[in-house]
Amino acid sequence: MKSPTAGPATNITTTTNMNIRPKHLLRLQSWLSPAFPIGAFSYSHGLEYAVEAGLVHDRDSLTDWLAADLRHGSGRCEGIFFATALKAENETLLEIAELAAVSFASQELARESLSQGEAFLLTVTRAWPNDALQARQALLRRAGITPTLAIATAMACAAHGIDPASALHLYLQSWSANLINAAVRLVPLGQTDGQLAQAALESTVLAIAREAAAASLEDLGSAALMVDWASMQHENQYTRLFRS
Amino acid sequence: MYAATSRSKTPIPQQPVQRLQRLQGAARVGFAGRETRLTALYQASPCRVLLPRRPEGRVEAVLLNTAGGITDGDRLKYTITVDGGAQVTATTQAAEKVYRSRGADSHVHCHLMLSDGAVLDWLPQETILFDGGALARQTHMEMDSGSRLLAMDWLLLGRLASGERLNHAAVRDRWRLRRDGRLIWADDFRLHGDIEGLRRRPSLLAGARALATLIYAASDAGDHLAAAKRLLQNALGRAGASERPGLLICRFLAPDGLTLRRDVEAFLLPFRAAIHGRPSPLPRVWAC
Repeated sequence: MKSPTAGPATNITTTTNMNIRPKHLLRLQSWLSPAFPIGAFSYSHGLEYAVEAGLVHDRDSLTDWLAADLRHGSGRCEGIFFATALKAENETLLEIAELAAVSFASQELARESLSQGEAFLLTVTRAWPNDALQARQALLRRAGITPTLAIATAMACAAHGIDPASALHLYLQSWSANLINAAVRLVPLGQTDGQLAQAALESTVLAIAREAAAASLEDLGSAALMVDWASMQHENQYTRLFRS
Repeated sequence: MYAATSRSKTPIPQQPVQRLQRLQGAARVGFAGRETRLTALYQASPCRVLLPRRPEGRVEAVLLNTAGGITDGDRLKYTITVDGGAQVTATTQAAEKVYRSRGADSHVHCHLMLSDGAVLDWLPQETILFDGGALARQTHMEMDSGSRLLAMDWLLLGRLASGERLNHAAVRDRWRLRRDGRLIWADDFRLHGDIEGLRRRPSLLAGARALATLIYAASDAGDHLAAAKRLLQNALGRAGASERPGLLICRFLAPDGLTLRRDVEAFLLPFRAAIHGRPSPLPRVWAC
């Protein structure tokens, strides 16, 4: 297992080479923006119930919830699915996409990822038509596989030839930013508190990006059973703003 | 093959002793037909299969590791095949103990195969992870859409009765479920390193030391979701249920093994009665 926490590497400042073309930077900025029309604002990944249950109640508890989920839970798996799909084609891509599409412990977590993945591809292919992306989409469609958000985004980045390290870092950053936005509305927290949480998660995002870049599907795995539990409970939450 | 062994902490030093003979146990058992007749039976030490008949001729297969536990490169492989309308409950004789390892993972592979209207309840007893233990477990399930599968697994983090604290251990638990050849569900639990610290994190285990996952895969799985959720509301620990197409998924988190057992039993009795349409007592060895 390629563990990022292994050895002294954790304490050494490592530089990841990012060599991104300006037009690719612009695309990433658009695709991973909260304004990109995939309905990201309507999903909380179980946070709405975690807030209801008092498990997340201020900036510190939010930061801890997300940091642990990123490092040991679903965020880490998102990173691994994204990073492996970025490098994959044909059969390998199918294998990754198939696994991602069924790796959900709840209905709402599945819907959150699969509907956003679908919406993402719909918009990206309209606004930035690309043959290589269409070929990947056709491959998945023939196999009857619905791409998750991580797979859909990775397929688009790969098809456009976007620098993998840049894409992976920004994908994980937008994943955490979306959940922080949800928590700002739910707890509620001030906008500045949201950004303080984002700043506090920076080192975790960097560590997980480094880990995911070197990982394979064998490294998948989450300990965030409470995220699953919160999502299961959310299905029965009486008043809710979010779809997950 | 994957490794559960964490490399993030200094491992227990490798001793310059000669390599011990590791366990390579296997048990295979197969059933077929409405009368649930035995079609295959293979046992390689230390694994054994006991087949006590329950009242009304129901079959309860009991798998047994006569070594009492596993460590350090041991491999146990269990295969259960159920065909042609046979109905089987399978369990394990006792809790599986995962002892301190000197470096290599302890491997447990379970292979469950169902076809032609088979019904299998795979209800093993707890797995107990000792301090320094490294478990890599895989459960592969293959079924067709006419069959029904209830499967669970549970894990205790440390010998809770003796108040053991897991300073360092590693577990990887992989589930793959295929129906009609298609992957329909995957689950990968992974916890390694300072388990005592990690289990306290609210988004991970929120203090739980006893965990279980239970699934029911059948064409009527969705019909039982509301009842399952109602039953789980009575849990003393935390428990929840959700569904995917043709699949019901339950997670249990409890502060200790006794609470978990109570929650699992309180769920299984009425739930199994509902899915099987008849009273379905817990496996007899569970009470031992």
